[in-house]
Parts: sequence; structure tokens; C-alpha cells
Amino acid sequence: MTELLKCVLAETGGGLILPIGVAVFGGTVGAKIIQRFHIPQIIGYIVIGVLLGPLLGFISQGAIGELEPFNVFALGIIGFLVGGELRREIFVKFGRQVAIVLLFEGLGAFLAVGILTFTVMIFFSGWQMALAISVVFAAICAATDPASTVSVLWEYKARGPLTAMLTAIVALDDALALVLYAIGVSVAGVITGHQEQGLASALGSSFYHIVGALALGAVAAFVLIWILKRTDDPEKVLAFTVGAVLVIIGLAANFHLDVIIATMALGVVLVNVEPRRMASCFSLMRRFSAPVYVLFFVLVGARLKLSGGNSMIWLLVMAYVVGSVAGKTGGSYLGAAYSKTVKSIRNYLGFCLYPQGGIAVGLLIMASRKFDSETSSIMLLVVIIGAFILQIIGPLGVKFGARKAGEIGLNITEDDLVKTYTVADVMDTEVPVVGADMSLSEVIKVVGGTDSSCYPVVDKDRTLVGAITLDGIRNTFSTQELNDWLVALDIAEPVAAKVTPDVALSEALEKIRRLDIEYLPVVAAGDGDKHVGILSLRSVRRRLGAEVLAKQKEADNKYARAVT
Amino acid sequence: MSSDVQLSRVLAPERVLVLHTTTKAEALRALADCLATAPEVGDREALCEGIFYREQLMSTGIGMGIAVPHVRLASVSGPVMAAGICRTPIADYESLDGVPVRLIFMIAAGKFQHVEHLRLLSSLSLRFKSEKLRDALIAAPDTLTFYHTLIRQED
Repeated sequence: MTELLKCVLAETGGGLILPIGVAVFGGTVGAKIIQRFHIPQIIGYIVIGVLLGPLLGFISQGAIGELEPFNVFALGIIGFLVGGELRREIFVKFGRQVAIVLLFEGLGAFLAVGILTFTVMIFFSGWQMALAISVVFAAICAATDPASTVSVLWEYKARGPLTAMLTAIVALDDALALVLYAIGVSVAGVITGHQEQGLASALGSSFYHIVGALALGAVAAFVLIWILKRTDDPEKVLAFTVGAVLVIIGLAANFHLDVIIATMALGVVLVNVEPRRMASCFSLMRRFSAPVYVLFFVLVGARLKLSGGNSMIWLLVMAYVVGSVAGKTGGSYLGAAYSKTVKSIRNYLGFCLYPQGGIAVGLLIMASRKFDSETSSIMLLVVIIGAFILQIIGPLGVKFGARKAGEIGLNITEDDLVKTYTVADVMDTEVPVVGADMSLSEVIKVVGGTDSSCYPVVDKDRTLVGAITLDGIRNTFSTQELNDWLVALDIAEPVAAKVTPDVALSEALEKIRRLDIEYLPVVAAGDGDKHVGILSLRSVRRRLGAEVLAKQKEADNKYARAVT
Repeated sequence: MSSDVQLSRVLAPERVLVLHTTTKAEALRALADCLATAPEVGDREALCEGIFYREQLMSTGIGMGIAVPHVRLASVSGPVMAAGICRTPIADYESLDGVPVRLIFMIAAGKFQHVEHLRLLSSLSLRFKSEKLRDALIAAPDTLTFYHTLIRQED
């Protein structure tokens, strides 16, 4: 490396570039490995983070601190994308139910964590301190991390009432957490004597955080819509959108507004005011967000401090985790039962609300000012470890809930299916096979009676010797005098390429595209060229289209049942 | 698809034979050997094998004393033809109408030349609807007369 480059890197904080690169690369590798065990990829990112951070020391705590602005940016992007999921229909369909379930699951977690942490703390301190600390823990745990929840829903292509309800809940429980936090911190401040503002003032401040953020996001959304209406260039759309998210984050930080709520408001307004035009904008941002997500979650893992625990801390962690899990599961069940949601939401929504992320830690850092330094560092450690554990079990819970609700794989596209299928899954085995010795008149009869565009020609051992296409048949229209003495072999076209059933569909379709053909004959693997079927582009498209439609219909039916 | 094919492009005078064989197999072998001398044919064995395989599927004796054995092969670079006049009609050819074969036109084309191949077959088939031409070809005293009689039709 030249001195100049070293100088530039040092000047620009380039020392962070290598850890960032290794984190993104390593996180992606970790996700790939962990996906093989059918575990959500996000856990792979976090595990790699633990490996690179506390275990190997490659990502130092200093680097994590320097990357804090990146975390805020990632949260902003996540907020924007979660907002993009919140279409008007969800609120129209589930509005009342969302409000009730949100209140129940938030208060359930608040009560459960509050009681459990108070029970632990009472053994180590006076009741006042125990109450102050437990109220803060209780207030913080209500926030579900939208990033990991939505990431798992996207990874498993979930769609249906549970997915819709969950997206709405994770988008809104930040606001609930802020209100609970305001109350909790005020109460704690009164108890510990560090009170700087009264309850009314704290609530007013939360109101300002939330409503100000909503207003900022909404105003920015209308400006962005005005700009995006004037450009169709995807690169510019992406640049404008990322720019808008960054501006909102910066403004929200300057005016002490909630960053996630502000960018979420941007997403909500865009998706509801200009749904069609903005579809490509969200799709671009989703692609753009992939490495941002990876780095964000690797840093979640890297932030973990493995040393410095004592029995009180571990007991508090246990109380925090168990309380969060029990409170959210029980609370959402009761809320869903009270608001009469469908069974799938009632039974499984709770499992999907465990992930906790940076918001909890961020709120705790703010709250820790109300306590002395020793207590605040213990509280910070408890929340960091607790949120880490919940961040590991959370994605598993989301996957479990979505799977039990039958919503996994209902939001698939044709591209998703192509990635998972082999040729055997979609090949056409019903296409009539034409014997090489079949007379042309007979061939024309066969072709006339079916709607295939390609007919494999085989010899008496069923070995593929060619294929007859509709074009091939068309060529014989002007030579009908030959019909009686030509056989199928005479008009068969040689096959340009063939595949075996075990070949990945994506690979076979790539071959079809490269050769600019419409079909590929399928022959048995390792058995000469024995005919097995035909992979026709037309029938593959028809089949995949029908499957995607069926999945969408299934999801829509679930919606319909959820509403009636 | 037009059936208009210039036979002079695919048939050379030296690839017209007078056959004195009495069986289908001998006649096909002799004509295949002759056709294999054309520069377009790269593999004599493959040509022979292809011709006999095709005959197994269905006889190429199309009736009226005419046979058109044909094949498409990867080792052939372009449409090419050889012709044989059977002085002794070949009775074992199993023609569609059962009439012994007097004239054989052996055709080979490239594996991917199915259109040209069909066009050539069609062109021959249309020509032989003329009884006058058939008789003239059968009665041709030598190969050169045969060749010119056939080619003249194009003019």
C-alpha cells in the first residue's frame, strides 16, 4: 500500500473499512452455513459477529463505537422498509385488533419483566432501587426489533394475516415502548431522586418524539414523491431514496426525534400514496439493504461482552428474557383472544415478538443517566446480554410462528420457485412421445390432438433421437405429397442440448436462454439417452405462474377468513 | 417452403450408377459407396449405417418403381445425392405399392439441414409424378444420358 493511500485511509477513517468488509463477507458466509440447518440467516450474521468481535477481537469495541452512525443509518433503512410493508389495507382490516394486541403484548411484557426483575433485585438492594430498576427494564422490553422480525418474514416469503399483523405490531410497538419508557424513566427518576422532569413532561417529550418523527417522515415522503415522479431511472430513484432516508435520519437526530418512526412514516406514506410507482423504489431499497442488514446484525453479535458477569447479572438476564418471552406470548394471546382475531394470530403471534435489538439498548443508555454509574453499567450489561439472547431465539420464534400459521412460502415469486426446483419438479412427462418409425400422417394426427409445442422422437429402446417442433411440422405443410412415406425421424430436429431430471431448474432455464430455444428434452441420468420428459419454457412458465397464483390465493383466503 | 431445388447442385454425373444387383441391400451398399465419394460426405460408415437404419423404420420405396433412401448425418456438410438405374428391377425393396424398384435416388444431408432435406425430397417426389420422365430415366442407355434427362427437367 502506498504511503498516500495509507494517509487517505487514516484521514477518512479507512481503518474501519477492513473490519466492515470482513463483517459483510463473513456474515454472508455464516448465513449460508446456518441456512443449511434451516435456521434463519440472521442468526448466522450474529454468530459471525460474536466470532469477529468478543472472541477473535477483530472488530474492537472502539470500531463498534465508530460505526454507531452506520447503525443509525441501518435502523433508518429498516424503518423505511418496514413502513413500506404497512399498506392501508392492513389497518383497515386489522386496525382495532392491532391496537388491542399491541397494548396487550406490550403491557404483558412490561408486567412480566417488571415483576420478575423486581423479584430478583429485591434480594440485592432495597425495594426502592429494585422498583426503579425493574420499571426501566419493563419499559424497555416492550420494543420488538422490526429488523430481525421482518428479515425472517422476507427470508421465508411469509404472507397472510399473521404476517400482516406482526408487521404492523413491530412497526408500532416502538411507539408504545417510547411511551412506556417515558413513564418508566419518570417513575425511576422519582424513586432514585435523579428526576429532571415530571411524568406529564416526560409524556409530552415522548409525544414530541413520536409525532415530530411522524410529521418529518410524512413531509419528506411528499417531497420525495414529487421528485420521483420526475425520474424513472432506477439509479437515480435509489440515490434519491437513500438520500431522503439519510436526510430524515440527520434531521431526526438533530431535533431529538425517533429515527425509526420517522423513516417508517416515510415508507408508509410512499406505499400508500403512490403504491404502484413506489413498488420499484422499495424493491431497489430492499436490494440495497442486503449488505446493510448483514453488517448491522454482525455488529449486534460483535457488541456482546462475554466477561464481567456475576450471579445478580445472570439472574437479571434470566428474568429479563423469561419475562419478555412470557409477557409477549401471554399478552399477545390474551389480546388476540379479546379482539377475536383468527386462531393463527392468537396461537402463534406471541412466538414472533421476541427479537430485541438496538432500540432496547439505546433506550437503556438514555435511561441509565437516572442511576449511578455502577448500577447503570450493570443494567446496560443485562440488557445487552438479554437482547442478544432474544436476538438469537427471536428469529427461531418468528420462523416457528409463521410456519405453524401456514404462511411460509405464500409470498413467493416465480424467481423464488426457480431457485428451489429441479428439472424433475416441473418437466412435462405427459407429452406424447413419437416413435422414430411413426409415419408423418400419424405424427400430424398426434400433434393435432395435443397442445404441446415439442414432441420427443425416440427409437424402439426409448432412446431420444430428436424432437419434432411445431415449426418442423409447419415445414411439411408444403410437402404433403411426402406424408405417406416419410417417418418421424425424417422431420425430427436434432436436439441442441438435453438435461437430466436432477439438474437445477435455474441451470436448465439458463441453458434454454443461452441457446435461444423453447424446450429441452429430459433424459435419464446415466442411462444412455433414455427419454424421461420435456422441459418446455411455455409449460414451465404456466406451471410456475399457476403455483404463485395458488399461493397468493391461499394467503388471500387466510386474509378473508381473518376479516370475517 | 419452396420445393424448387436445383438437382445439378446435388447430383454430379459421376454419381450416377448402372446397378446390376438384384437385392436391396447390395444396391444400397453400392450407392452408399458411390455417394461417399462426394466431398460433402465425411464418413462412409456412418452413411451406410444411417441409410440402413432408416430402411428398418420404413421402406423408402415410394412406389412407381422409385426408391429414395435418405439420411441426415452430422458427418455430412450439405445436401448431396447419388442415383442408380437398376437394370434388374429389385423385388425385395418392399415398396409402398409393391412394384419392384427400377430407379434409386440416395440423398444425404447435414444433421441440422432438415428443411433443405425435406425440400430435396419434395422436389424429387414432384418430378416423378411425370410418367414420361420416369420412363425416360429407366430407358436411359447410359449414366450421362440419365443425368442430362434428369437435369433438363429443371430448364
